[in-house]
Amino acid sequence: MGLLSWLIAVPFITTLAVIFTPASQWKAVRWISAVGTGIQLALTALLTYRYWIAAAPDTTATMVAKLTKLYFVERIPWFESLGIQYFVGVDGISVSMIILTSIIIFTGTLASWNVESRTKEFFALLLLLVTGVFGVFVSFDLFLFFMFYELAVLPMYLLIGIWGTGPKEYSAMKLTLMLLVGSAFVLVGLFAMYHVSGLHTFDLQALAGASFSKDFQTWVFPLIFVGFGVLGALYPFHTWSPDGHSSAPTAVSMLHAGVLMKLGGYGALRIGVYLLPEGAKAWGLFFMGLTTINILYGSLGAVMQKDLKYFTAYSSVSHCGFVLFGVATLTVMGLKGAVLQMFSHGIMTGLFFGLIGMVYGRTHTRLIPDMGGLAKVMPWLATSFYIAGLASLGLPGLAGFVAETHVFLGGFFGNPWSNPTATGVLTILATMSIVVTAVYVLRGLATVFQGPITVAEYETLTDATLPEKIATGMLIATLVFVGVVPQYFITLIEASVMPMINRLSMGS
Amino acid sequence: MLMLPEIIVVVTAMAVLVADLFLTERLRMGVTWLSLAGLAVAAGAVFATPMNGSMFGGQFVVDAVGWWFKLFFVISGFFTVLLSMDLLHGRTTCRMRGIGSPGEYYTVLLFTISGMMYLVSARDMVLLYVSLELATIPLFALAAWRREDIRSGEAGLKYVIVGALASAFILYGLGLIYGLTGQISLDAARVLKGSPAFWFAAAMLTAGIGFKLTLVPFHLWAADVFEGAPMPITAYLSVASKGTGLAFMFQLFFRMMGGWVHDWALMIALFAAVTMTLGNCVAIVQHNIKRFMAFSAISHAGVFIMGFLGPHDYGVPAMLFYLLAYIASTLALFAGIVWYSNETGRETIRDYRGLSRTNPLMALAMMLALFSLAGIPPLSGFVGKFFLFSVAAGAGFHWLVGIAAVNSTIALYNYLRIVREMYIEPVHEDGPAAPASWSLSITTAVLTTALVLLGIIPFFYNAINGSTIAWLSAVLPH
Amino acid sequence: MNAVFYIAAAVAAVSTIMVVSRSNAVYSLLYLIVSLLSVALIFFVLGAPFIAALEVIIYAGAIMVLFVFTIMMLNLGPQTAEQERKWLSGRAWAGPSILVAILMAEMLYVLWGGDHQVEGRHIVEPKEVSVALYGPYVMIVELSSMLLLGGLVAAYHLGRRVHGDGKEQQP
Repeated sequence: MGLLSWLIAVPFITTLAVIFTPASQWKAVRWISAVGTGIQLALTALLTYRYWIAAAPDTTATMVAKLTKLYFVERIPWFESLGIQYFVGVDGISVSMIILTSIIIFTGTLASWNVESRTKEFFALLLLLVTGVFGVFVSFDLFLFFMFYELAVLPMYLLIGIWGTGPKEYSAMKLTLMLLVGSAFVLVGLFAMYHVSGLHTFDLQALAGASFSKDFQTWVFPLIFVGFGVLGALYPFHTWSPDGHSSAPTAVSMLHAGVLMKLGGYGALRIGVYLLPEGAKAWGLFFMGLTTINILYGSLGAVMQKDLKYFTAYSSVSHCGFVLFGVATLTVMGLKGAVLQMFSHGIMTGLFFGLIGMVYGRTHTRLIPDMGGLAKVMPWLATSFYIAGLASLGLPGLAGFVAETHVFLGGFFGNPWSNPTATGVLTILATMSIVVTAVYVLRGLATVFQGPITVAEYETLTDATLPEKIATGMLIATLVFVGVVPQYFITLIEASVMPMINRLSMGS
Repeated sequence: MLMLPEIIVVVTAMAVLVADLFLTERLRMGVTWLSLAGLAVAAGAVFATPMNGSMFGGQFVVDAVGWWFKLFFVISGFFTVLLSMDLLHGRTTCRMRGIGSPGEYYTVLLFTISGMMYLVSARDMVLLYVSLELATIPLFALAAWRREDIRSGEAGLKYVIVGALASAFILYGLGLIYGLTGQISLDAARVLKGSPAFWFAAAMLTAGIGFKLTLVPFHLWAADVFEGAPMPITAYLSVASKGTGLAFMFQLFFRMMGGWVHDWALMIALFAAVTMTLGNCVAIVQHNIKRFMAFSAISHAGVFIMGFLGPHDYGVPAMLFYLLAYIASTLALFAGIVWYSNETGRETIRDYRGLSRTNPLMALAMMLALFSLAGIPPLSGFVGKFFLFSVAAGAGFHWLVGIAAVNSTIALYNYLRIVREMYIEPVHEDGPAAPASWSLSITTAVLTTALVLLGIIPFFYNAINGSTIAWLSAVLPH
Repeated sequence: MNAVFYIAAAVAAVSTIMVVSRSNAVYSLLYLIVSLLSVALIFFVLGAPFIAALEVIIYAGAIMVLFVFTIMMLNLGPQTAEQERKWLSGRAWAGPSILVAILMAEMLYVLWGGDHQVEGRHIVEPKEVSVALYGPYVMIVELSSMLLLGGLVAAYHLGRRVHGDGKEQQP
């Protein structure tokens, strides 16, 4: 069993270990999960190291050749007669997504340390979900990809339905159904590609060799993009996102906004743009338009929110808009920016939702106007909140800045297949959201943390505990690291988006 | 001996009938053991029979597809006996009056199984018809088995009337085919050219099978019959009538009308779309779990027939594999439903609330079965549906794949209603007191394991696929 | 000569339509008998005298049973006498009588030795039927017997009475 299979197996084995732990030992369950996700983090570090060594460019000339191929490939025939195989491998994009997922699930486990009702089921489902996420990021067979994709979506129903707050059943059902309708679109597209290619294989790389006609690509691409876009909160299919995030328990919000929504962008990039470049060119401008609405709508929506979770959820809609916007620009800069944004938004929003959970656990309210002056009693949490907020409004030195700059540059300079004026105007419109973001982030945080303490009970509240400090500390460190020395990440990602760019420029 | 499995089942039926006369009330359990043993031996015999060969001058033929169907029928019969035994022998908390007579019950059940087994081997219109009747007429009585329950009687009566109507359609169709060819061999009809009489016959046969397979608009009987029948029979109906209908459709589309199935793809696709959509949409408003399962079965009928559309070297193994996955998932789910109804006598979806707290393992098994039916990976239901959708896409019916995939979402909504009751709602104050009996526990454990593993381990699909390739080259027109 | 066949077939079709369209069960039964008789005649002219005989014997017998059942189900009471009087009115028996008269005429014609065989038909004697049934088609006969046994067992179960105390009584 190779390294990547272990990456899928470890969370799954941890899930089984949790299931077989007696329910009375719920404290042990937390430790099992923490150890399992810790091992996963270590494996990820090993993977990153080995990938870096294996793919390290000797000269610039070999760089592209070395970084564009897949590493740690495992191929096992599965349903041979149908061309389905167990095919896993990683490139730079996958590696960065795996790093993101490992960090989020580890911190998410720490953040759910105080889930005391039905702990066993909670962790089992959480780990099952994460198994699916890891599976998606390493799969290069479309059947396998789709299987893990749905596996990652479904546990969400129970996680929100059982442990959520507010109108949880409604939110859970809405989320599940909308996401599955999205995957229905994807499924139609997958089968169309499988049969029209005539290759009878679900192998992603082999399918890239198929010559799809322009007409075919033009009708399949929107299916794939919209299908994955539902999970990436593409306007107007984003409505599940605010409800879902606000009802979900802390770790689930973290995982969902941090990682799961990235599956949408990842799928759109990996399958949509890579396999259907002509379709992408035909629809690029249209989707840039939609995602611009996303970005503006999300940030304006966030301004209106009183609830901290809704506030973050709308800001996620806006930030995930950047991801899809980046994908739709179809430029090197834009695609790079999209992947970087997936990573930085994942970390940032994970931090946000984790902190909201921690604050809510203390104040028992999430309404912004009800809180005030909390920085005095919980300085660690307040500082972390500010760092997350500044990252989300794109302060240089933090990860968000690097990503957003790439996306905007990619959009502004445009691609040869879309009207340059239109892309320029759309980019400028999208950029305005940064100002709006600054407004809502600074205003919201100032209300919650600054000024005098408004409610007497808040005087006695405590600051972060040790697990919470570890969790937030890790996330902040990652944000700062990517913000200050982004070149490692950029190298990792840049070469891996090159195959897509090559395919795009080949046809024209 | 090609007919050995059928003979074993029939002999077991006779033996059960006779043994029932001599066994005292205390030893009445013996008939159950006899039935189980007979079916187990029959399953072994199916395994032992070769995948090709014919008897009676070609009237009775065993081929790969028939082999698999027989295996599925025997397996579903075996688990139906396991599901029924608690109820028949009065070992339940909630006593149901008028059910009893285990000897006769098993005899009749075994007769229907033998009828289904003859059906897939028949290569002669009279044998086909008689075996179809053997498979369905005893089922009418099983549906009405609870004599004191007015709903059970109603179920039986409705089933008789609709079944007779379906038989009349089929008989008319077969009669016309006979008139055109002058032979009663099924294969003789394959050379027929298109003519109004032929098309009329095809329509009649399709309508008749539509009743058996609960295709819309021939589905109206299903909900009432499912609701009225005793619970284990509801389980058996939902797998057996599907299996019989599908087997009959194989006979129709691959033998009698062998050359025409491509031309009728659009019609099949429309049937599939309407059936699955209506089944799923009506299931939304059902509160009784049996009626709910009836509409779920209807919508699955729509999924099944997608396999007839496309490249048959994909379609045939995909349909067989999905049938296997469907049998495992449905019966696993019904094990839970039978247990709940045995213990409490209640059968609405609301009653399952809080089951995950009081009986976590059973709730888990039921949830897995529901997810498998909804087509959620990595369970076998997902794999089967994926293959069937792929067949439809291969035939160019991308719109149908879209409808089917959206339908999976509606189906998921339906199944999630039960999951919601089990996992999210507070505990039912008057839930089942006793844990599941050993027979139901074994059924649940075996079938849940099966429904998980069938889709992950490629062996089963590869075995079906490998054995049907030769079959296809013999059956399909070149 | 095919005319005999066509006339009998027309009688069968007309009487069957009447069976379905009558609202009174007894009227329907009268037409049903006519329909079955005409089918028997069709069998006869098609060269299957044995089946024709079976048709008359079995269905006539079965029809009588059905008839009795129907009478039983229609609650017997003081109105029955009035009802029976109505059955004797012309409307009830005129239709079936006309149809039967046609059949009768055909039968007389056939008995007279008229040319009644549909062309190119080979007459199937009872012996041939038996040889076929117990030769190549023995499996179907066996299967039918199982079907009957299954039906019998099921009918036995459903027909059994249950006492108030739940104990089952042998019929």
